[in-house]
Amino acid sequence: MKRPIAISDSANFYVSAERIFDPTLKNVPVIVLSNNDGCAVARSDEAKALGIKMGEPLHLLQDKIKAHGVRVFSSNYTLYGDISRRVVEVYEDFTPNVEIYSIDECFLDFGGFKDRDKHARAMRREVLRLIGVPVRIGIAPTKTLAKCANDIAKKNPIFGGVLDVMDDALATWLLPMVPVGDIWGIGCKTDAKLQKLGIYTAADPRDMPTKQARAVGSVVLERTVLELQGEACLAFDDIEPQRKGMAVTRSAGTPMKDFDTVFQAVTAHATRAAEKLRQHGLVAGTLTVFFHTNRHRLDRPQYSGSRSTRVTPMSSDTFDLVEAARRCAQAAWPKGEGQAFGFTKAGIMLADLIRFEDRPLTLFDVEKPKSAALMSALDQVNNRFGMKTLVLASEGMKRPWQLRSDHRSPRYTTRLTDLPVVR
Amino acid sequence: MPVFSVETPVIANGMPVRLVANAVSAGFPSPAGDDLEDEIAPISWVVRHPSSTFWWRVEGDCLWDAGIRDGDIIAVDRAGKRRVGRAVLAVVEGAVTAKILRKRDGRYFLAPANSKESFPDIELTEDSEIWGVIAGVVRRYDLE
Repeated sequence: MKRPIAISDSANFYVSAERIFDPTLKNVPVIVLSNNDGCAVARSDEAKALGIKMGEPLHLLQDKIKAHGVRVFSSNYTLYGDISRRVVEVYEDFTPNVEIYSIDECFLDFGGFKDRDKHARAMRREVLRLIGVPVRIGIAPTKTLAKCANDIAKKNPIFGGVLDVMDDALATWLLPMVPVGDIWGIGCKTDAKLQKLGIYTAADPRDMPTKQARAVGSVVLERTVLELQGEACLAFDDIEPQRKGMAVTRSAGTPMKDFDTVFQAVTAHATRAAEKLRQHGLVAGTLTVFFHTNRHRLDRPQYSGSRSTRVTPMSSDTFDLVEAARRCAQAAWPKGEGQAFGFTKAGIMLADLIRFEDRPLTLFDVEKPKSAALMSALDQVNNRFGMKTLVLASEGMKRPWQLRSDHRSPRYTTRLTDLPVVR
Repeated sequence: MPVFSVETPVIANGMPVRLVANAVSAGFPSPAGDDLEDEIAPISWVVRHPSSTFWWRVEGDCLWDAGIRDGDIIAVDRAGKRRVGRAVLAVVEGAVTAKILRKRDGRYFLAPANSKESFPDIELTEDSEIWGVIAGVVRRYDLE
């Protein structure tokens, strides 16, 4: 017996999250912008109907926004993260195993339920009732097929948001509805190659020999073909895999021209990364700093700098990581005078992450007995009084490098000063 | 540091023996040591369903008689049962309002609770929607 896997996700999740607290957004076109207010990354159905494309730059949309009264929002990840967490909590009442795939998508173990369809519909109803977010659910024996089912359920209101394709005959009937380019894990290059071979929908790869699949698109495509045939290659993980690396990187609202400003941004990113490490009980062994100018402005001087360093002993201490980041940033800073660069992006990456308990001890470990207590105090202060209550001075006070987010909605659910108001 | 660290549970008559978890001081033992409990958490008493409870700030006094005043913070539970007589948040014509759910002649109304000022009743139509049920109120007073 094949084990049913469900995937639940919300169409236009960011828009749905905005709509919870602002009923004037109902039935009107709404878009949410990417980091730094660059382009549209989420669109309500009404906005899609106006022909606004995914990733379309804001400055090209001004006419449509004015003509149709499109409501525009900057990304409010604080809000989306909180709503996402609440949605997962509801899922957890319906299945013992939830694998969070992204901010708006979860794989759910649906093994052992008698009436899956009824169960999924009840879950969908509860998420809508308790949180106010509409989700669609696809159920299938493999993750790839579940994604197809979810895709069909999203596009065809006739299914009422739930589609179970555990039945082979049903799958045969439905898969021709999914264009090959929409299949999970198939990029546009592979899509083009498959079209040439006469493979147009998710139904076609089921008859494709795996050898051929491997020849056309490597192991990844072979796995996808097997998954479409109903053979589960991607396991349902009930344990989150150990994180191998992490990155904190942001675009700057205004180009950063001097070392201090770039280093302020780098300090802030390193601080955030250190916080994340401590949250997960990890330490890092390698740190990379990078920054670069706007690659789309070839009329301006271009520079891209990056340096890596070992962090010894391996650490999650904010001071250690910021110090390592400073060495990297100084080494990567452009040499020579006279060139004025405007850096629009800076970030840090941490690699070689292991659990704190497993870290190798160095022979001449510098004893810093107060470091753990200091870090825990730092985290506690920032948890209780809000992020960035206590920061390293090298992060700066004015933070000119901060993101542009001119249209961000309030952090309705996480800040006392931002609570929604009822009259 | 303990003189001997106990690595495995001590078994007596097939049952593990519980070891005293309190730190033993060399002086007078704390008489409260065995009676410690968690701190009082009134918020968790108000919030019955954490995932479906959202906080809102109140402006205006239309629920004064229900003990809700201008400036209060209210917990609103979307999982709360919509019952006549309960204070609810409702969406009417694109605006969110806090009112008491009432029923007269088989029709539902959103009614204020303020005997000093008069606010109109709003009939609940198909277009309006109840957002959630008020689960509790938090208010603070000046100290300085």
